[in-house]
Amino acid sequence: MATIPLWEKQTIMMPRREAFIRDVRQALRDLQPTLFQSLEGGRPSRLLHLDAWARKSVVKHFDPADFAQDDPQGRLAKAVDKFRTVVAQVPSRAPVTKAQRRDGEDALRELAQVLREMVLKEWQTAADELINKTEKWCTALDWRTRRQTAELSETLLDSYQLPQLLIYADEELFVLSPIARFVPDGMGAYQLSIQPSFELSSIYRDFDGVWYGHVDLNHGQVHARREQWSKHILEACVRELKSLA
Amino acid sequence: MNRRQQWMQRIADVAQEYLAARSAAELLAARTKSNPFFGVSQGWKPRAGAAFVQNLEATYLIRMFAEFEAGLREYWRSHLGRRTHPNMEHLLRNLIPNQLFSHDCIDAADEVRTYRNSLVHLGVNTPPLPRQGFKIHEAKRRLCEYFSRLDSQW
Repeated sequence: MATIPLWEKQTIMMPRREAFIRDVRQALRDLQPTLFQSLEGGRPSRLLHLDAWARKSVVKHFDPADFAQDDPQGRLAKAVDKFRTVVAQVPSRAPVTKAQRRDGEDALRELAQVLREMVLKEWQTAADELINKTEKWCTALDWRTRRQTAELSETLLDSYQLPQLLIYADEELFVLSPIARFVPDGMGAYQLSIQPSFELSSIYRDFDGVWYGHVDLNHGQVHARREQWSKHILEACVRELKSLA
Repeated sequence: MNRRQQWMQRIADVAQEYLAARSAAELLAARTKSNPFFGVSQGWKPRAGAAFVQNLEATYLIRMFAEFEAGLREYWRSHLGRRTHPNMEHLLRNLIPNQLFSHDCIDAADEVRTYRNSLVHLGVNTPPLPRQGFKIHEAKRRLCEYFSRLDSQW
């Protein structure tokens, strides 16, 4: 698996595929009109990240081999080629014209739409696996569960749904709910919380696709120990959260 | 109330102060309308009153971000036990967040930081330069959401 070192944490390697997905996500984020209204009494404001799509190498980490299974027809590769063609027409030192801006943003959105389908499908499959496994362990532990649907909205993925699990264990209510697909140092995260309380533990999908939970929460989340998500770790998390609440 | 909640309350308090200041600005506008020399009688020029109104939201946004930064640096120092003083962008984007933060949550707070920087370094009355603007309550929402992801045992 090709990987890209993360400059801020040298021990973690990000897969090249994930680096490409994140670059597209960030470029899309930069396009969003995050404003909204100007300050009272001020003039209407402009976008801060105007034309960021043309300034950075959004698709430099793209390799068709990384998406061979998701995209047998090569739709993503075609969208990337189209985007590269548009960006190549933008001179490096001259202002971007209105036509170039429109074409660039259209090409980026088209690329993002193709990528969204692949990323969302993969993320929903991974989330289903997590919930299915956890539900099975809860049944084995004689804990009652109930599934619900959580509504999420993220840059690149827009609005979508994921399953969440209510767990009744030891006369307490726990909720295993999704945080996001895009989180630091991982490819998606859920949180396990005890209700009603602020106490929670994160369960995240590492770059190798494996789900990990955090235990030893007694000294805070920052000192928690990472373990592969399992029936044993689920039990430990439930026990620790109950003691903290 | 833990430290995390205390800092969120401080951010919310700034938003409340802003509302109070806005009401005060409305009262001041009514007073100066009926008495154009009111400011002079208090020792300030009329244009200072206009600037006060125009810069009000920016002033409170800068104050709000100062609370956010102070809280984050305390978390870095006292809860994480770090002695370094990283720049705010690095702290906010890379050093503090873990998997409990969504990237959208990080981006949202960082966009407030960027906007605050444009206000501080470029001045409130520099319209030709590109910048984003935030209503103060949108900034509060973004900064408090970020804080809500910090360790609850702080």
